Amino acid sequence: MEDYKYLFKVVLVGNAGVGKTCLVRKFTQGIFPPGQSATIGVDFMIKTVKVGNDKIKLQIWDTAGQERFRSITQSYYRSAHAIVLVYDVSCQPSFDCLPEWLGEIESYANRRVLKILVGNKVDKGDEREVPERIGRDFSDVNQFDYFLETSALDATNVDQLFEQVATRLTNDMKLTDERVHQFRADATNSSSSTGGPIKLIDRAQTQLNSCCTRQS
Amino acid sequence: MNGLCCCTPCKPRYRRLVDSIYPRAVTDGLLYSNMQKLTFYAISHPEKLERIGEYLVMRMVRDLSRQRPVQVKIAVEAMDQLLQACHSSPSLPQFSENHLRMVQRLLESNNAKMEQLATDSFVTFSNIEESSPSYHRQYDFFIDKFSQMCHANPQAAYGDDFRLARCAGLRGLRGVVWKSVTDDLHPNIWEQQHMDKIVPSILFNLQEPDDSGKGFSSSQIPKFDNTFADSTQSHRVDDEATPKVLSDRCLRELMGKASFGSLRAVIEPVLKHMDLHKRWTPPPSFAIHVFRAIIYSIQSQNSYFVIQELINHLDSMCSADASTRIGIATVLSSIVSIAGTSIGPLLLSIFNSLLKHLRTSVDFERSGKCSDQPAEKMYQEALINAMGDFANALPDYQKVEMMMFTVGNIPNLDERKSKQGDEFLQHVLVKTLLKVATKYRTAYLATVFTDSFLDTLLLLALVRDPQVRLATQQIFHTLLDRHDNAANLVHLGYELDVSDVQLTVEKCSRADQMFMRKHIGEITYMLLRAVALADENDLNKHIDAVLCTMSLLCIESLIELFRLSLALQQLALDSKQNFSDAKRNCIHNMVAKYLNLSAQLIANPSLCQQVQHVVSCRAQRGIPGLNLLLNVKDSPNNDDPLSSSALNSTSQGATTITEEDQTLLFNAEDIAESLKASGKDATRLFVPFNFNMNGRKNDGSGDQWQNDTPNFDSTDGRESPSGYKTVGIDDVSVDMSVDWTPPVSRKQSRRNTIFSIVNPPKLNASTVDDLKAYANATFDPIEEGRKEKELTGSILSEIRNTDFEERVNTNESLNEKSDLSKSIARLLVRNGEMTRVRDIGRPAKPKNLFEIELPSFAY
Repeated sequence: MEDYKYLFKVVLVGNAGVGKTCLVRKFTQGIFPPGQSATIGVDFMIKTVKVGNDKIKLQIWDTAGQERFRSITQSYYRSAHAIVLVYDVSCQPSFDCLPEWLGEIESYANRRVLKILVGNKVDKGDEREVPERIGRDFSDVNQFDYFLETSALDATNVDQLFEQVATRLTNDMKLTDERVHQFRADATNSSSSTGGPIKLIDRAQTQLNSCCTRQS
Repeated sequence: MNGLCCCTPCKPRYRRLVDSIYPRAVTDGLLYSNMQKLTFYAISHPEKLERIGEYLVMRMVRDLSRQRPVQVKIAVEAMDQLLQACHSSPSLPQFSENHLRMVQRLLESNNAKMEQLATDSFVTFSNIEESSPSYHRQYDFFIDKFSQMCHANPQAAYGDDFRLARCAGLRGLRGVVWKSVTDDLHPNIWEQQHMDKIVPSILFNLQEPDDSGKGFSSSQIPKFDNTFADSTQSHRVDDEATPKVLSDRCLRELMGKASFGSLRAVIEPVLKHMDLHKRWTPPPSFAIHVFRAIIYSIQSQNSYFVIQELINHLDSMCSADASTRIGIATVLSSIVSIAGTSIGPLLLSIFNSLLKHLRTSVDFERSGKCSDQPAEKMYQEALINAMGDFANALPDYQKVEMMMFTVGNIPNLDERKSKQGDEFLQHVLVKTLLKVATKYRTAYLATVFTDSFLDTLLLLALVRDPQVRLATQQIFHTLLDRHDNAANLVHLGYELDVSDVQLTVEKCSRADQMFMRKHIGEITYMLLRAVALADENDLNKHIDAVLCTMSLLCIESLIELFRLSLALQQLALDSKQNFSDAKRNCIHNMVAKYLNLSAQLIANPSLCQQVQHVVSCRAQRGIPGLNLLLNVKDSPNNDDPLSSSALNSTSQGATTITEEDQTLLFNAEDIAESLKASGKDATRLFVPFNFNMNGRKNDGSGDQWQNDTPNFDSTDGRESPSGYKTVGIDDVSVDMSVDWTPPVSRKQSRRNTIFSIVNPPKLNASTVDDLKAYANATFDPIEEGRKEKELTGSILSEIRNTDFEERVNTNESLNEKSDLSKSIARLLVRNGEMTRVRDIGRPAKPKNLFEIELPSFAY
């Protein structure tokens, strides 16, 4: 009876003031909130998108960039399906902090989490400090799944970003689902002949699938 | 599923019932009569409950997406009522799944009102006790979402209602906790991942300033009172109007529910939060409040764990900013006293780690890498305070233990090996010891001054660092002072009438007398040296400290210190000592003050007179710095005999007393006379201190005197019970000659005395009652003295009147008694005689088999 196929948790992280909240607002509500103040703790938004014919629900957890909320924000990494790491292309320090953030993701998030690097505020043409090439190189070196430059102000790439997140997650999930189905079919076929090893495979599948909560 | 929806009569009954609770007009609320029908149906058909829930949720979701808040509200209300009515229904688990789905939908709506509604509904749910456990239920989203609501801010969707949203979030979290702790099978709420969200959310609300905008103060939070917490629900709701109050309550509740195993998961986020929000920075009032709340809320046997965690945290922060460490230490000191009583077995380990931190800090400060020395000092101070507070909370016997422990940690009292840092550490540890000691109330001297402890203290009193010496004297003050006299004696002046000082004097116990007998020698010896060592720069403080110790000793137990004072006087006169005149004067004054005090205390008029005479003579002579009377008259409060003018005038004329000015000195003979007159034996007054300190003051290293074994004039334990005031000098020695032999040899000579006179036993008590009577009998010094004299007289007369040969014979016969071989021989002889006597008239014993001479044919 649920009206969506999958539910994914997306967590946005990055230095304070890189525009995480604005990205989320632009995407979910279509507005660019001027004079947005610093997020406190975490913020929560929900948006349903369509991937192909499937309705996908995105739970977007927009975390505070400030150091003092680090403990609460870290606790949200764990259950995330995708982590969007945002930096400000017009602010070199926010880019320099990326390794630090990567370390945090590494230590707190799921190992197979979808990592996406986003350079925000591309509308600030002249003030750009981080060229696109640098960002792309960084994302390649550090095995990000996707790199994008966006602007919450003029909506460049915002929708595309979240669509990409949804699509990639859905594809991953479908792949896993298929595999599970196949395994399950194999299991039911072979269970008639042999009893023992099947259960082990079954267990392996459930473990395989356990990190991605499927809500249906 | 929705195939039947178009025509009402075809719908199943439960759907019709559900539909009927919605009013026709959008403005109306829930139709209660129809709701009752639905409830009745649900109770009587429990198998339909799940379907009802499903249908309600479906309608609610539809209304939600169509932005019909009234209908949504009705659905929620209906769900709540059903939930409460059917709390014992067998299909409740399935229904509650639907309910939770509804709550989740509402929470996802991004609408503050709906969230509010959802929270209320969830809290209702959390109050219901489920009979069967739920296996698959997931609260993860609720925890996530409620935590997020706790951080609601006015800029986001919440607007001015952000406080309400925060309250809702807190209540929701509390609901999750309630729900989870009652459900054994539920995935553990106490897992780190959940607590990492719950605890910071609570703390964040607790630390947020209220409308007043001021910093944190615990006064804004009404005292949490367990007894009324559950009394009236409405009262509670009023109470929890602000997030701050509510969060305080949540924190306490959470802590109260935490078991020992889950404590770590709860405490660690707290520590992390304090780190990240810089809440350790002094004054750490918020951290103190939080940790107090924690300590008060958790089961008391676990409180040591919190302290341990804090100390561990201190370990991990040892390289952090000093202010952070000061904060942690301050928090420790403020909670340790609350947790104190339950610490028990871990006492020493906690104390040890505090000491360790102190040492690390000292090393750090010494290493020169420390950029902020004052802050480091403050940190040490905070640690010392923590230890003091810690000690304060403990029972007395553990305080003694802690003092021993501290003493055990003092490094290298042997100065030859001491390093630079050790001296400072000594200083810090002695301060710690002083802090602990001030919390201790001495009952019996012997319990606190064990041999090793006293020895260390005595050594400490004579180390090179004057600060340590001073602190050691202060330790003596606090430990000796049982009647709060120390405050009056700290700057004892020359009092014309001692009763002005308002001392509390009490007869001291027998155990203490025993103790004093045993140790007074060592103590007086230490005092003498301490005076000799007294720092020239800080003379008054040191001399006053020693005087205070002497006075306390005098009040608390002994007056053997007369001897010490005379020795001190001698010391001041000794031209070989490299003392400044100021110091000499100071010592003279000290002796005068002490003699005055003790003379008045033992109520010896002639002694008082002497003291007053000497003092007035000194006053007339007009040596600046020695005129005690002047000070008394002009400024009774000015206890400082060495005013700066006195120091300046040292160049003109005689500045101190020399050996020739007999009138200005206290005469040992006179004092002895006075003491004798009041029935005390003053013989020991003339036993000098074996005190060689020539040249020691010059090099200051003190190597020499560390080596020479102190010749303590220990008065060997006498068994005569004595009254409080006469304890000291009523020492009757059997030797008639006042000789100058060192005490050790004297002891031996006494033991080998040729006068083998059997002393009549002083105590011939055969029963306990006799002993009691004897012990309680008031002691009359004069009577006792008379008896002793009689005894001495009889011994002397015996020696005088009988001639030598006779004495030798009697001695020999006495010795014979104790000669073992002779005794045995005598016994054997007697035994033989006795057997013979017994055997008379008896038939001969049957002979031994081998002794029987058998007739030869037997072979």
